[in-house]
Amino acid sequence: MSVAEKRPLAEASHVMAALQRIWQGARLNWATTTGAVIVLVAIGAAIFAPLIAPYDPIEIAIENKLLPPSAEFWLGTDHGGRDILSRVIWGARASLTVSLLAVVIGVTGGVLIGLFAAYHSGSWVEQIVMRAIDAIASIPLLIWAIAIIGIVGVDSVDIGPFTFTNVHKLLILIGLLYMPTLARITHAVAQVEMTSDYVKARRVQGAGNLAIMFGDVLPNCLSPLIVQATLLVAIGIVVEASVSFVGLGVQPPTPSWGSMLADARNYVFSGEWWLPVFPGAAISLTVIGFNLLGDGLRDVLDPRRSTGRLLT
Amino acid sequence: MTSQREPEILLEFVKARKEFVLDDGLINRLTGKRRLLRALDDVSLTVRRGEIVGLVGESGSGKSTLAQAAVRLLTVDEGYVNYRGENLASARGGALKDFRRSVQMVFQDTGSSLNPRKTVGRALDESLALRGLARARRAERSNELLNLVGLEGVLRQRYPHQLSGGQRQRVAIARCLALEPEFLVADEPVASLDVSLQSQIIRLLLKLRNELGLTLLFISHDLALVSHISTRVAVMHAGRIVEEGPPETVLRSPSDPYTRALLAAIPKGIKGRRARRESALLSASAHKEAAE
Amino acid sequence: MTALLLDVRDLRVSFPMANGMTEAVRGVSFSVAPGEAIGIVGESGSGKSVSALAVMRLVAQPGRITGGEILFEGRDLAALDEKAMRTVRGRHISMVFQDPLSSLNPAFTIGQQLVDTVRAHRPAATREAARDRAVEVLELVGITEAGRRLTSYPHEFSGGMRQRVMIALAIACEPKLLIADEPTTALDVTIQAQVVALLWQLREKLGLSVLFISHNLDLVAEICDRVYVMHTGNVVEHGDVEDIFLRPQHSYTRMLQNCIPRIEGVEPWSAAARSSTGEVAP
Repeated sequence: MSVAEKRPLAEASHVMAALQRIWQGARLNWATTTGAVIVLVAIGAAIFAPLIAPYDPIEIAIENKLLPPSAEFWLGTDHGGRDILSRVIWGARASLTVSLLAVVIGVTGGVLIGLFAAYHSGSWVEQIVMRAIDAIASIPLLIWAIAIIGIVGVDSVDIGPFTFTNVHKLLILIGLLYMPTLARITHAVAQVEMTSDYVKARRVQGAGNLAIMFGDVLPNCLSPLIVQATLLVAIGIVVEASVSFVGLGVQPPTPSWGSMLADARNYVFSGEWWLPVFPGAAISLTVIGFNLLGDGLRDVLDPRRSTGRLLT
Repeated sequence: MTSQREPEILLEFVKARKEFVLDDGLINRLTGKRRLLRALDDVSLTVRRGEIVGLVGESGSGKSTLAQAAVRLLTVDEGYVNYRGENLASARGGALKDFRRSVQMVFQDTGSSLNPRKTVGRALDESLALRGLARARRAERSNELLNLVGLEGVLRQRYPHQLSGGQRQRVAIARCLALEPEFLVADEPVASLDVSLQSQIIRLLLKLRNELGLTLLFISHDLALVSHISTRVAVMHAGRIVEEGPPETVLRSPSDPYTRALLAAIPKGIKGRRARRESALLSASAHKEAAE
Repeated sequence: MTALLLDVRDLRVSFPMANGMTEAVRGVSFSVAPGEAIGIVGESGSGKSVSALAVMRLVAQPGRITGGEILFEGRDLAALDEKAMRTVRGRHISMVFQDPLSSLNPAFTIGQQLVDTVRAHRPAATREAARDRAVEVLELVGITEAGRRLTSYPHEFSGGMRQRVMIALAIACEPKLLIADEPTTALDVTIQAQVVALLWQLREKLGLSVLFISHNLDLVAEICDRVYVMHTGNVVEHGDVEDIFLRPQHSYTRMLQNCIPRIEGVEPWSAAARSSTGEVAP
């Protein structure tokens, strides 16, 4: 009898079954669970910042400047008298907005490019696309980011009715720079999947090429893409922090973990340890969280795992 | 013999040729070091309505290429592949759509012929959508199709990895039937199954052929199996059809040396053992005589 | 009555699964006398390959031998430690697997692999002596120009030749027992016949005992003296090959027999007859 008949989960709807499988997997794997918890906390902080931050993150109050952590200010205050805890919470917004939205842009573009190249497998079109991708990917992400923002400038740009702040520019840029990695993954997996029997079967049945690419090939590319996307979020956080650190990212007075680190530069040796430690810890922990989650997802989504199963 | 006209020719290969390029690449292209593999070498084969044509070939014989050409997964370089008189290579639009509906293929590897991420139900629904069936009627028809191949409708919720090899192959057959074809190409449909399952699937194919009036092109490496179920057997070797005829003739009086080699190589069970023993005894006594 | 070369008694092998331990082999007993060719027949999941791997103590982790004895020349292999087992493998008992492509290391020439095998069991042998032995066994398995082919890589050989090389590797150290696990399943039937003939020859020439595992009853019947039929981890029937083949007692053996399409059963029949019965002839 098939394994499925022994498991009552098979009767549930696809989504419920998938969620329950993830839950079961999470319970077995503490590392992934830790990662997921960290990620949820970070996202929660970003979303609910106005509700949970004890103080205004922007308002300057010189009388409180450079106070160490206390009952009143849990993480201390910075050189402007602003509560570090509130700034760290609000800083999550900048970091996560940039990294999450950049990944969304990257995945959308990368998948389309990768599928396009795989569809034209064997032709010069594929070669040109993939080599262009290689060229872009050959320059490190951070250098691209600094160079372009450095050239374009940090002021907001108005195009038509839309205003692009520096944060918007940054996330679009990072998103574009993610496309090569994601396109490569999609292309590699799609190429292999296109040679499989089930694709041939669909062709024989008369399915159109678009239906095959998006309905059959793409879902089978999802596992490595999801894992890579999670890891790219982690990278995005570091990139945003780095760019903000050099002043090309989130502009003051908006709090951002990177700019908080930049501000803290002057106080590293004078004893106000809480200025760099807490934003730095926020960056590290969030990056670790996304990495753990990505590793865990990779294990759950690996079709070769004997008990792990695929998402729909 | 009655004097009725011969049944209509459905599939026809006329001097078909297909070459594949090995060692492809920019440098090899320039230096002329590419090699060509002739998978189909002047192949001519006819399949008439109602026949079960068994094509026997070992690996490298070109049988898979022929199978793919028969369902237009690839086109031949020279010669023709026609279906009901229409050249497949030049078929477009409505004619191609008709062809795609009329001819279906059962693949060898049950593990990869079904999309691992689609449930059985979804795969069947998609095929029925291609058939033009209204959405509301698809669930019911899927159940019918599953019953037709000896499975229960509850399997619609299952993923391929939750089914056994035999069940997967039945699902693959059901998927073919969703299009209501008249011609089935079966490319080694039982090779990856246990011997007890093989006979079940074969019986299923023959039952469906009788009930639905299908024509079969059955491709396999197993000459004995093919001989049992085919109305006509063709033996393929190195891209050519070297022997063709009714199974009894091919088995009893093969004209081609390759066919004879194939027959000689088939394990013969106890008879083979006795023959081996006898020849061993004969050569042992011959040695003894020579030594004396 | 000569002592048995291999005597497996009540072998049990289990694998941990998501819902507890699953027994793949449930108390299986079989034996091989010196010079005998024994066949184990079964379909997938019968436990035949796992039994063979257990004899070699090569059951893939986390599977374990959970019961029984594996007596080879009186010694219980199941009780040996890994170091002692390594002196047995390749030297006294050797194994040939189904897929010669993945069983030979693609990064090394076959000469290197042969020499390594010889020297692993005879560290005192010189390089020349090992090389000579390599040429010797290659010729024994029917590879012409053996000396020249020592420098070839596995991928330069066809499937049938690779299987011959595997057999050469297996007999290089003059084992007493050769276990062949579906050695011809991946090969064309014409090549299969050649490999089977080779195994038969080696039996005669070297006095080798063979444990031949296959799903193909006809193939096993051709070369084996005694046959064990396995199904879901148990031996359901065993005996002389002629008895098993011509007078199967167990229903499973009979079913296996009936399902094999054989050439002898094909009768001249008209298309009409075929379409009315639609049956596969027994």
